[in-house]
Formats: sequence, C-alpha cells, structure tokens
Amino acid sequence: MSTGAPATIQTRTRDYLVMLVVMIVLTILEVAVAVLPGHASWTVALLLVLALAQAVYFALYTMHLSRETIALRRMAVLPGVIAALYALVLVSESAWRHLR
Amino acid sequence: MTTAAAHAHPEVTASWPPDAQFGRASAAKLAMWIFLLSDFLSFVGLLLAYGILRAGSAVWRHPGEPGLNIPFTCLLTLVLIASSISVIVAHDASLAADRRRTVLWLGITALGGVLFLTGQYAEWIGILHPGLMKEGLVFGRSAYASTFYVITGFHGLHVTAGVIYLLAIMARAARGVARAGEVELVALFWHFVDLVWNLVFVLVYLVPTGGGG
Repeated sequence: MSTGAPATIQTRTRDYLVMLVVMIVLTILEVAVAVLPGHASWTVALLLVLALAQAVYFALYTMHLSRETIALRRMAVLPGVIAALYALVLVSESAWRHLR
Repeated sequence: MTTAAAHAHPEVTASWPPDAQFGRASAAKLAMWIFLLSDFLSFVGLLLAYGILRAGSAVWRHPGEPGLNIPFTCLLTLVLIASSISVIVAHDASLAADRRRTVLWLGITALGGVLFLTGQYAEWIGILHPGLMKEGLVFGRSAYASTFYVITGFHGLHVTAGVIYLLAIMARAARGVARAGEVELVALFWHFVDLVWNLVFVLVYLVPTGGGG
C-alpha cells in the first residue's frame, strides 16, 4: 500500500502552462459547442461530457488528486459519482414525466 | 515535540509518521477535502433542482426575459482559470520559503476573485450597461430567473469567502508566519470554487434555453 503521497505537493513550472492551456481549450470548446448550430440533445450531451472532463482534469491535476493516495482519491471521487447517478435518475424521471 | 518546545515555537505543527491510508497528508488537508466534498454536495443539490425544473418545463425562458451574456461570462471564467494557476504558483513559492513571491501571487489570485465578483455585479445589476435585473430577469418571477440568481449567488458567496481567505493567508505570509500547508489549503478551496464555476457555466449559461424574447 502506498504511503508515498507528500504532505504538500510541488508543481513544475512547465506544468502550469499545460494546465492553463488545457483548461482554456476545454472552455473554448464548450462555448463553441453551445454557440454552433446543432441538434439540442447532442449539444447538451456533448456539453455534459466536456464539463465532466474539465471537472475531472481539475480535480486530478490542478487539485493534485492524481498524486494523492488511492484512499484519498476514492474518498474524493465516490460521493461525486453517487451524486451524478442520483442526478441522472431524477432529471431523467422529470423529463420522462414531462414528455409522457 | 515536547510541550515546552511547542510553546517556544507556536507555528511548528505536530507531525506523525506516514499513515497507511492517507500517506503524509495532514489532518487539516483531509478536513479540507471532507469540507469541500460536503460543499460540493450542496452545489449538486442546487444544480439537481435546476435540472429537474428545467427538464420538466415546456418553456424555460419566457418571452421578455433576457438571455445570458455568454462571451462576457466566458471572459470571467478565463479569469477564474488564470487565478487557479496563480494560486499554484503561490503555493510553490511558499514551499520554496519565498515570502515575497508567495504574497505577490496570493494577491494576484485575490485580484482575480475581485475581478470575477465585479463582473458578476455588472451582469446582475449593471455598471456601464443595465444589468439583468433591469432587463427583466426578476427573482421569483420564473424558475429560470430564480435558479439563475440562487446558483450564481451561492457561487458568488464562495468567491467572496475565497477572496477573504486568500487575503487572510496573504497577510500571514507577509508577516512570515504562514506555512506552506496553509497556502495549500487555501489553494484547494480556490480550485474548488473554480471547478464548481465551470459546472455552473456549462449547465446554467451554455445549455441552450430555446425560446425567449
């Protein structure tokens, strides 16, 4: 079992730029998907995927979760996954009732 | 550390061997993660209510209600993203015991937060142009208006708290008493504020509203 996660984590200078570029690109992609014409359902699905990707990238690299222990990673990720499933069920149920 | 030593150096924290589960992460860092998770679930609750209301409504944006300014909000989003990077630089400076750079980058991060809040004020109330309130987006008049103000307002409160937290740690860093661990905690909080904003930006601003006038 790993106990190697440091008390505080240092970031290399080159990594700052990579993080900045990735997050800017993801944000611009999101805006492009929203603004460009397309089928509404696909637009929403694509936006959700991009938002999720950005959130995961943020947690893993900007918040350094990727360099923490597995136990801390699980602790941080599991409530989010459960909440996302709960959200999916409730929003789908609401949409289904409306469409019926 | 002995009690006498702790009194002599009040800024020195107790340390213990690496934990089998959490490595050398401090108790304060674990506490911050637990707090952030519970806070995240508060946002999930709000976004969930928004999703249910929106999925169950035939018309989301009613005629006469203004649309949201995506280009302007995208700029605010980029400001928050840049401030997330600047707080990492501040943390690295604190690890290198570089007091001047720590204070500088914490200040730049706080400035990013203040810019974001100013932008949100301009959007809601208006500075050079009339804000959404004057354009007809009135709290309580529609689910679109109410969810918009509640979600962005709740996030704005977090940004305000983050700016105050950043300034407090900056003041401690300027006096030379802030530890790198403290800077890391404020950085975690600030990243969280940014992460949540990206979700709010996509769900509230970018998901097409259709209709409206």
